[in-house]
Amino acid sequence: MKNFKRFSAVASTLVLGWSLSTALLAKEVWTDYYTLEDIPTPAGLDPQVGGMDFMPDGRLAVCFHRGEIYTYQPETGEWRLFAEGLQEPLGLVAVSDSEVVVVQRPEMTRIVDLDMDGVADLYSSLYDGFGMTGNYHEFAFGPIRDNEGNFYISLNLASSGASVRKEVRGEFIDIGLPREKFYSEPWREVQNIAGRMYSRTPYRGWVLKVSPEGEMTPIAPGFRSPNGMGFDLDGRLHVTDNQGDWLGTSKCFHVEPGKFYGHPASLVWKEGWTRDPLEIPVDELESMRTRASYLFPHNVLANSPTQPLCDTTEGKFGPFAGQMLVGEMNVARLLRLTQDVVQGQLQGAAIPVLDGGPLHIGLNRLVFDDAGSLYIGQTALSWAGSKGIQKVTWTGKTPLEVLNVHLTCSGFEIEFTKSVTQESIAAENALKIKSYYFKYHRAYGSPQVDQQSALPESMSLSGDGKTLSVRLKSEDLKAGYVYEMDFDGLKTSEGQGMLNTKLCYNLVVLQP
Amino acid sequence: MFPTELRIPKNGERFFPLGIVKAIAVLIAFGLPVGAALAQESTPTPVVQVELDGAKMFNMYCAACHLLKEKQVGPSLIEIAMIHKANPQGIVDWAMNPGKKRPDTIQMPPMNYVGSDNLKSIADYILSATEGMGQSDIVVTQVEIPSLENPIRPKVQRIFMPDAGPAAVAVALPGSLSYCWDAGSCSLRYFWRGDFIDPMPVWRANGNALAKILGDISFVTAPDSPFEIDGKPVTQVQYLGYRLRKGAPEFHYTLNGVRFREWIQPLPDDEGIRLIFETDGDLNQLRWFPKGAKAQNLLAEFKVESNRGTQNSDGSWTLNKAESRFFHITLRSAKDVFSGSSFGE
Repeated sequence: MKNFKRFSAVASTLVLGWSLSTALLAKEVWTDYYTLEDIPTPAGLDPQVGGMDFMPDGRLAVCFHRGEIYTYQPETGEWRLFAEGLQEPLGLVAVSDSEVVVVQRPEMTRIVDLDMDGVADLYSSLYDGFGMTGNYHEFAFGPIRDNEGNFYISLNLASSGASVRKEVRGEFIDIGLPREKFYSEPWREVQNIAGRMYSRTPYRGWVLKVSPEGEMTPIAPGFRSPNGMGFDLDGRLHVTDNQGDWLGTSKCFHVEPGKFYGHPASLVWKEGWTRDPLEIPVDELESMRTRASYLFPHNVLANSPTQPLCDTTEGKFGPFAGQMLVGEMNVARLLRLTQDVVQGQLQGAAIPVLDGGPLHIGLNRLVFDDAGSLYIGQTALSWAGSKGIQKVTWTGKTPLEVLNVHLTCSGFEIEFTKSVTQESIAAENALKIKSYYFKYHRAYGSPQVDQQSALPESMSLSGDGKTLSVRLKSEDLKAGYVYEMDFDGLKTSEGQGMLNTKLCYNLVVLQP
Repeated sequence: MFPTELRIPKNGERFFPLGIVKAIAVLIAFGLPVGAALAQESTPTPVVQVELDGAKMFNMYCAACHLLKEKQVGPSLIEIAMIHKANPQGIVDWAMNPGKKRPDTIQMPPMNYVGSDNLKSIADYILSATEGMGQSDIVVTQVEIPSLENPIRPKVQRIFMPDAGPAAVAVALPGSLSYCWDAGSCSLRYFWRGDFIDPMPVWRANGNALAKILGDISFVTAPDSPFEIDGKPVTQVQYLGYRLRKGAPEFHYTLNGVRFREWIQPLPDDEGIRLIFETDGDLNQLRWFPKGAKAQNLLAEFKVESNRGTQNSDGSWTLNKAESRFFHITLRSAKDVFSGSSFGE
C-alpha cells in the first residue's frame, strides 16, 4: 500500500517537472484536484474491508475479512480492537461510541461494549431469520440505516459454482431442482437445472428491512449480487447489482417496496408463489420487472459495482454535493450518479470520478468524515481487488466536469461545473454519442446491442458557457437505451481541460 | 484466489527508481541536458517524453493491479518484462486482448480503450523501469498473520465448520478443549481436545470451504436440541446472541418460547466440560437428553451428571420448574475418550 504513496509522490514530482518545462501533459488527472493518502492498517491483520462508519466521537469503526472490528483514531493514527470472531462482516453502522450494528454471513448483529472498557462484550443477534444453504455465494450485505432507524440487508443468491450443504438454515424450497438432487454427483450434471444463481432458502436475492427491535419486513426481490445499498438526500433507496445471468450489465436500482428488480430466482419467496422462475417466459418477466435507474456498461464504466454513498459533504468534497458515488471492484475508479426525474422515473448519468491510480481496485466501502474527506475501504474476497484503506480529500480546485445531465424532448441538456468555450464546443468531434441496449435474458451478461452513433443535429451553448443543449434527431432518442457520450477537447477560457470525459445516460423513459 | 497477504514494503524499497525520476524532473525544469544525468545514473536513455508519459499512464491504467517487483492482482513488471523484453509489442497485444495463463490470478480485463499508442508508451515504460532487473529482484512478501491454530484462549470465531449447520460458532476454551456450537439449533454440536482450528480454507478464498478441526473430536450430538420442554420436543428455536463472560460466550436463546442461557466451561485438567444453564423458569418440566451420533457409547465414555433434578434410566435428566432455573450438566470422561476417537466412528 505504501508503495502507492511513494508512487503518487513521484507522480507529483513528475507533474511539477513538466509544468515547469512544457505543457505537454494535456490530459487532466484527478490527483490535480484531490489528494490521496494511504491509511496504514494494524499489523497482523488481513485488511480486506467489509464495512466502515464513523462513531459520534470521530473514531472510524472498520470491520475486516477475518471478523475483527477495529476503531481508528484519525488524529493519532491509533487502531484499537473493538470486537472479533465475526463471520465475513460486509457492512457496519456505528450507533454510538460503544455500539455498532454489522451484517455478518449468518445474521445482523448488535455489538456493544457494555462495561465501557473499549472492547465489546455483547454480540446480540438483531435478525437471523434469513436462510443459509452454506453455498459460498450467499453473502449478506448491509446494514444501512434509514431516518427512522430501520436497518436494511441485501442477500446474495447462491451460485451454481457449488451445491448446498447437508445442513441448511431455514426452509428449503423444492421448486426447480429437488433437494436430494443437490447432493447427486457430479454436481456439474445437475447444476444448470437449479439455475446459474439460485434461491433455495428464504429471502436470498431480496432486500429486507429490519426495525431497531428486530422486526423484519421483506422489501423487494429480484437481486443477484447486491453488494451495495445507500440512501440519497431525498431518502430514496439505491441498490447496486452485478452483471451476470439476467443482468446484461451492472446497474443501480431505485428500490421501492413490492417491486421486482429482474433476477427471477428470488421470486420463489413471494407469498403464494408456486412457479419455477426459470419456466416463466422472458416477456412476462420483462413486464414484471422494474428497470434500473443507472446502467454501468461492462468494460466501459464498471464491472462490479459496490456501495452507493450520497455526497452529504455540502461541497467539502467538490462540486457534486447531493449526488451519489458508487464504488467499483475491478477498475480503479468510482462512479458518480446524476439525477434526472422524467415522468416520475429516476434515471440519469453515471460518470467516472477519481479515475485511475493511485487509487487501488477493490473499492468496496465508502464513508465521509466530518471534514468531507472520503475513506475508501478495499477488499478482494478471492476475486479482483485489493486490501486496505485510502483517504481522498478535495483540494478546493474545481475540475471541469459534467455536473448534471437532463433529458429534454429533443435531446439532452448538459450542465458543466465551469464555463466552456464556444470554440471547443464547436470543434469537430467535441461530443460523440452512441446508443445501445443490453439484453434481458437468462444468459450471463449481454453485448451492447443495436449500437448506433447519434449525430447531434445541433448543439448550443448557454450565454454563461455552462449549459450545453444537444439536439438529436427524434428517431435517435429511444427508451431503454444507454447514451454513451464522450467529450473531446472541451476547455475553459483559461485552457483547463475536462477531467472525466465520458458519461453513460440511462434513458429509461422519454420526455412526453 | 487472492494470494498476497498484507504487504509491508521493506525499508528502502521503492516502486520506481525515485532518484532517477527526480533527477530527470529537476533537469528538465532547469533545462539541463538529460542525457548527461541519465548517464551518471548508468541507466539507458529512452526518449524522455515517452518515459514520463508512459509512467503517468501506467499509474492511471495499470498500477491498481501491477507492482514493480511484486505480484499483486497481476504479475509484477519484472515478470512482464522477462516475458516481453525482446518484443514490447507483445505487452500491447496482450493488453488489447488478454488471455489467461496463470491459474492463481484472474483474467486481465481488455485495455484496448487505452489505445494502442498509449499502450506502447506504457510498454516502453515497463521495460525501462525494469531495465537490469531479473528473477532475483522479484520480491515475495510473506507477512505472518496469526492464524487460529494456537490462539489466545478463550477465543470465539464464527466460521463454516464441518458437521454443523452453516451458522456455527467455534470456541477455544482455556486449556486444550474447544467446541462447536450451532446458532441454528442452539446446541453444542461437538467438542475436541488439541489445537483450535485451521480457518484458512475459508479465509483464503470466498467461503467455499470449511474450517479444519485441529484435534480429536469427542461427544458428537444430533443436529437438534437436546431438550424436551413439558413433554414436547423443541420446535421453535430463536438464537439471540452471546455475551462474553471471562472471554467465553454465554449463549442466549429461546426454545419453545422459554429463555435459556448457556455457558460452557472446561473441567479441571480438561477432563470434560460443564454446560451451565439458566432458564426463565417458564415451564413445568425440562428434560435434557444425551442424544447424538455417539449416544450409544456416550454413557460408557462419559459420566453425565447434573447438579439438579433426577437421572432417568436412559441417562437423561429431568428437572422441575425450580431446578430448571439454574443447573449444570457435566460431561466427564469416563476413560481416555480423546485418544484416537474421531468423526464417523
